[in-house]
Amino acid sequence: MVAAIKRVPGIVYVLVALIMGFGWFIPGFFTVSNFLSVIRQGSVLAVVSLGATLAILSRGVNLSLGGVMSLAGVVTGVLMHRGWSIMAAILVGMATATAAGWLTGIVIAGAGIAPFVVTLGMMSVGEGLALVISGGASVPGFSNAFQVLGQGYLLRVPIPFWIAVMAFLIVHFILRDTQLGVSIYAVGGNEDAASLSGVDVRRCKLQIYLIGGILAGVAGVVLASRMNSAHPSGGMGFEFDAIAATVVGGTPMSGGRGGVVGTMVGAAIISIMRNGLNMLGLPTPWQMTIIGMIIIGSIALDALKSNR
Amino acid sequence: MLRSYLARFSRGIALLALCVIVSLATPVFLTSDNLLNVARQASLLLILSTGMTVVILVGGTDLSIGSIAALSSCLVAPFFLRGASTLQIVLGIILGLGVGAVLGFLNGLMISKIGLPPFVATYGMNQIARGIALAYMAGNITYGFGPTFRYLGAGMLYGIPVPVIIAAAVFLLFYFLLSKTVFGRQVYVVGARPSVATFSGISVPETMLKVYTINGLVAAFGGLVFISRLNAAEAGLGETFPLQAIGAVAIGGTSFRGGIGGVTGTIIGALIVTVLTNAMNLLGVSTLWQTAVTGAVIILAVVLDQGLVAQGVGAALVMRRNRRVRAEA
Repeated sequence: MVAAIKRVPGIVYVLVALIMGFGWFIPGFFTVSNFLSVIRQGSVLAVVSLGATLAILSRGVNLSLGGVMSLAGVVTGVLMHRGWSIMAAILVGMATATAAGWLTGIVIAGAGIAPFVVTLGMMSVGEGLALVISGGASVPGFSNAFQVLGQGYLLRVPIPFWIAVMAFLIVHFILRDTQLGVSIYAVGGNEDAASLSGVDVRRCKLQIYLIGGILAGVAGVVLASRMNSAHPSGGMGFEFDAIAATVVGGTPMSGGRGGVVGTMVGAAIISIMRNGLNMLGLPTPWQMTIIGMIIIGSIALDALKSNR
Repeated sequence: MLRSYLARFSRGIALLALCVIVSLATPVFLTSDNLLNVARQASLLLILSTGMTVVILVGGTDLSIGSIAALSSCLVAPFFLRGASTLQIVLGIILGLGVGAVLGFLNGLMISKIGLPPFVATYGMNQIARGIALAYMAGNITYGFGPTFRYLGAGMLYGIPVPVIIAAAVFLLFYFLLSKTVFGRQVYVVGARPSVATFSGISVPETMLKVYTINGLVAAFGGLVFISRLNAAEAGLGETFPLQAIGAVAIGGTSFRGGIGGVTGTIIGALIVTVLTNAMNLLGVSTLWQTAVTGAVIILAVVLDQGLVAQGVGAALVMRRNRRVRAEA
């Protein structure tokens, strides 16, 4: 029994403590509607975080996720406003995000440039194209059928949650049971060793950022549907929340260890934190400050632990 | 011979070519008014990106310069309002620079003592400083500075804009610092090989601490020049500073792996970014395009920088061969 308790990682306690703490201090926290809204919001972050985790596991980083999210949402929204069918609009939005991810991967893998610069560049390309395509304003008001994706329910659970679960299962499967998964851990652990043992490092990196693009596309479309509006900076900041979720979830920035199960707990912690701070009625500037401190704090703990 | 010259001056040639193309496209470009305008705009970017160059040379990055500029200049802006004495203005400037240096120092502490990845630490600082600035200003704007302070960002000296002279001074200072001082050598060694630096008796954490402190100070200085030109300070200023500065450094050829590059390339990088933006404005391209173009130019520059087009094609061929080998196996 004691041994079983010891096996539970520390972050689960953090999650439980956070829920208890907010529940104690905030009257409306333990209501079904608030619970559902946390799930709905957290699911989008969960999907993006999967992409961030893949990059970090390989000792890379992906700052373009938020920009690509915005781009995918705006493309889908604008096409629907032009009278395209929902399916076609989503497909083109997803294809745009996939292409962005592919391009990022090609530059990183083909040219061997630090992922930080390339994805930073792609972040502003994505955001910039979203601005151009949307004309700089948000694209609001979609059909009910499209809104179901982000606001609807299946078996009384919000649909974004099911989408996140599916994405999680697929990425978890890739990491555990495919050659790509093994390669990602190998590249993150020691790139030279991986290359010498016959891992195709370039192909592995290309696929990591390609999958990142696809996940950002899914998240962007779901976000647009949930908000009933596609905003050119709607995805802004998600890339950093996703990195925080990954590191809080136990995957160190140095790569090679960890996985997406922890990332899901990390995403839950960050979403609950945002929700709780919001319900406490804290003004947005202070929320920014506190969340900045929490992100630094959690990653600092991880850094101090690995220094030892 | 020719090749090595081409490689050495490729950025300068690119800038020249850009200027020729733009002046052919629009006659307005080469008017003295417009060139002065370009110089004035480039000067702020140049100040910010010289500091950023040093950070990137030690293998780091700083995403917090916009918020540091905003927080420090918002805090001291009341010192510069119309009717302020010169002493008051000097005091305000010193205080503002001090705030920037302290925030930069905190960045350095997080990175060198705790071991946080630079972009995480500085992103966190970005959030924190911006949050405090927003809370402090509570949506207000401080505006209407006295002529003495306005001179800093909007004045002219012998027909040259004062900020251009300031930027030139900052550049020369950093050029000297990087190429002629012990500190400069240390920056390059720490950036290229931290372990070698340690074995040679250079304290890596101390160097990093200095570099981030200096960059905080430079960011605060850039903020002061910026509010002086704008004649107003508000909490949201400078959101695009980090990306623009990193872009100018990247285009200027300083490597993100650390230890390679310098401020000379950064001048050209800053000018390329500014001329591009100016050209888009003159040609009536929507300002919405500017973010996307900046991003694309950053990626393009780093790709070209490593002569990597050829290498990229090579990589694609290798990948194709590997796929074929796998298919056969």
